[in-house]
Amino acid sequence: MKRFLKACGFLSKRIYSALSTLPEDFCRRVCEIRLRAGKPLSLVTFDGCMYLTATGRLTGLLNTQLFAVTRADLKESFNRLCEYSVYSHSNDIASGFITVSGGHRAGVYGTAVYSGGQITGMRDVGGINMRVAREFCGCAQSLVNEAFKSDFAGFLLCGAPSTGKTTLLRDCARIMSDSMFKKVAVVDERGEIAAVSHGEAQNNVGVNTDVLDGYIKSQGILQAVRTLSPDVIVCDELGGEKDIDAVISAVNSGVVFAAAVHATNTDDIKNKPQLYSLVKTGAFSKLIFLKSGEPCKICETVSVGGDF
Amino acid sequence: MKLIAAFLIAICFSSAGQFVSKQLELRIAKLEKIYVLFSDIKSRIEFTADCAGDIFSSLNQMHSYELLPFVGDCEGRLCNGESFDSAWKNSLLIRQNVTGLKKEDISVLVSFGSSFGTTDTAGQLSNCEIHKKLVEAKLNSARADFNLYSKPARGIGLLAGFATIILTL
Repeated sequence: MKRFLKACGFLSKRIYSALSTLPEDFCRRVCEIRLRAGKPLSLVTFDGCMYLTATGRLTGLLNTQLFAVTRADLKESFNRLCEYSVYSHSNDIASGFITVSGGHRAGVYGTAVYSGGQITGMRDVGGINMRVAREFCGCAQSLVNEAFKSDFAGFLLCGAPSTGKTTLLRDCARIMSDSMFKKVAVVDERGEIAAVSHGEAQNNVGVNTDVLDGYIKSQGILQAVRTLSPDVIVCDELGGEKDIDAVISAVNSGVVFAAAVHATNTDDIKNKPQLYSLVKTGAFSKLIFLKSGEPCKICETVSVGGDF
Repeated sequence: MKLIAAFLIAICFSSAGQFVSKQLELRIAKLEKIYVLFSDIKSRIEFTADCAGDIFSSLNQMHSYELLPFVGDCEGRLCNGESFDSAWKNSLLIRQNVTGLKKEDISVLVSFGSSFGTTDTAGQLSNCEIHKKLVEAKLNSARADFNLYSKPARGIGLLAGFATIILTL
């Protein structure tokens, strides 16, 4: 509930007032708050989508008088998300999301502004998708048991969006640091794993964990190897060409990787050249696939070798 | 009794002259501080990209801005969850926060606040630069006013005081 309200605090005051009166058990199940200009405010849970009526009640139907999001709401929410400092979040806005304290991530879209062929900014915010960050201490215990059953070697967590990859990685970092006493370096490009605010990690990633917040993954990995002598490097959403080069360099230095990618099955990995190259780096001894629709649940473990 | 009253009135006139002169001096001192403030904000945006709350929090901890109480007031309002635009405007609305400044100076400050944080780094640097130029112009006008009116104000105050004594006696 606290996390939900904290995430709502980054939205406009009118929306915050409407959401703060919702029942506690429902708030706990909300994973996304979606704001679209002139459209009803929708709350996405693992069971489906719910809307807020004009009187503040929850409904699954679209034919009633619903609480609509205005452009003023979007503007206010956008300014709040940027902490009234757009310049401070230019890169985030160009990438399409803003990570706020608490690890919540707001996807933002509108009219793109290009300069030199690249998105440099955005005007007229059209919508915001606030993803409520979760932290379940202990949820990665079975993953750690599975990944390090035989030896301490790297693993790649694979799953569709909203399968709990980041949540698992976060808890995995904590377990490796506090229970396995490993030196962990988290390369947190988007600030989702540790949710660093003013230099302090707000999520529990363990006492032996160093967080490289906001670093581009490839640069962060190399810096961690150079300066932090980690046993394990944890990073989310690997897949770029530079990431692969950085992973190879780190593996050559004897570092173990715990990383996550968007992939639902082995075919998916084989069909995506960059993911296939990543697996072929030798940094991962296991591919652990997560169940869709059931967050943080392991569906299949594949040992890397042969075809991979 | 008559003499005492005459002296008191003379002191009043003289003090009024001194007050006008001090106000002109205070305006210069405040505008100079505002110029430095804008430069400071500009460099913080350029080199640290700190957000508004952090910038004002660290500015408030610096004793060099004690002459500008609206800086601290704005930071307090930001901490209480007010939006930057409203916090800045409201802190400038309190009279004691802007004593010594003219309406035209305050309007430059209001304009700075309304565009602060709304654009990317390049936009913000330009915003600081434009407002520094505007403050510089006000500063020049304040210095000219000081040179033009400070001494006469004190002189007229004293003169009016003596005149009162002479007339009363």
